[in-house]
Amino acid sequence: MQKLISIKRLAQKLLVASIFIGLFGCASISQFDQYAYVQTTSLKVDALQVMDMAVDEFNDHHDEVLKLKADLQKIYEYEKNRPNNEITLKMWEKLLDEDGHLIGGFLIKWEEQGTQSEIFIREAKKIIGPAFDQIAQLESKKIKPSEL
Amino acid sequence: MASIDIEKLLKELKNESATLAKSVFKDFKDEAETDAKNLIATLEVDLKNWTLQLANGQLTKDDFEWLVMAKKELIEMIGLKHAGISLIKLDELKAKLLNLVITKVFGLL
Repeated sequence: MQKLISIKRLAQKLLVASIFIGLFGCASISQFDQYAYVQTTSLKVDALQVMDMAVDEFNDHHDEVLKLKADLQKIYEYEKNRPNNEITLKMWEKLLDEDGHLIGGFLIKWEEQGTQSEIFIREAKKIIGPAFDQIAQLESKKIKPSEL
Repeated sequence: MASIDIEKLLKELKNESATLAKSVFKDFKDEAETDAKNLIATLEVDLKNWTLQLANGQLTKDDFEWLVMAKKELIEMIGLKHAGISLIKLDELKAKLLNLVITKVFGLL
């Protein structure tokens, strides 16, 4: 009888532990990804360099813009396929939105207007640089697999 | 096998969980406050500069409006980052709570 009670208690404890594991086991957000972090910081540098070219006619730098757009699309596709990555993906969508006012919108404005003034470029870079930083900062704060 | 005082265990878990939650979210709160303060400070300076540059003809009306909208979108990006960090903190808390529960419960077996 005593043995039966002990087994019953053990089963109860295991059940409690299982419930906790079930509740707390699944991650809310993706873990840190070194590739995503490096790509984000590298693309920030590329984007700011291309922005400097906007003092010239857009058509003179068509190839550089196309390359930047392709590279940005590649990281977006990579981020899209990471599990639990909705927030980072939303940030990329905002950054790349051609109807918006970050890098996607900047490139469209340049294309539509031909050139941009040095002052406007300088001020826009002061916003678009930190916009990339937000994605990198979020990535850097994610839990590293080694920390689990 | 020794009997387990479930009430005592739950009370201990409750107290230790609250302490864990406070410590995990404290840094997050401090960082969010610092970001908000910096943001307000830069927003004020930027708006003053852009207004002056617009008046001087260094920025067009279109440029000015574009920059204001860009700043708004940057603020949204900062908001998203903090939403993400809160999820990271939640995961940290979950992991710590799980460790606490496992240590406590299995320590009594």
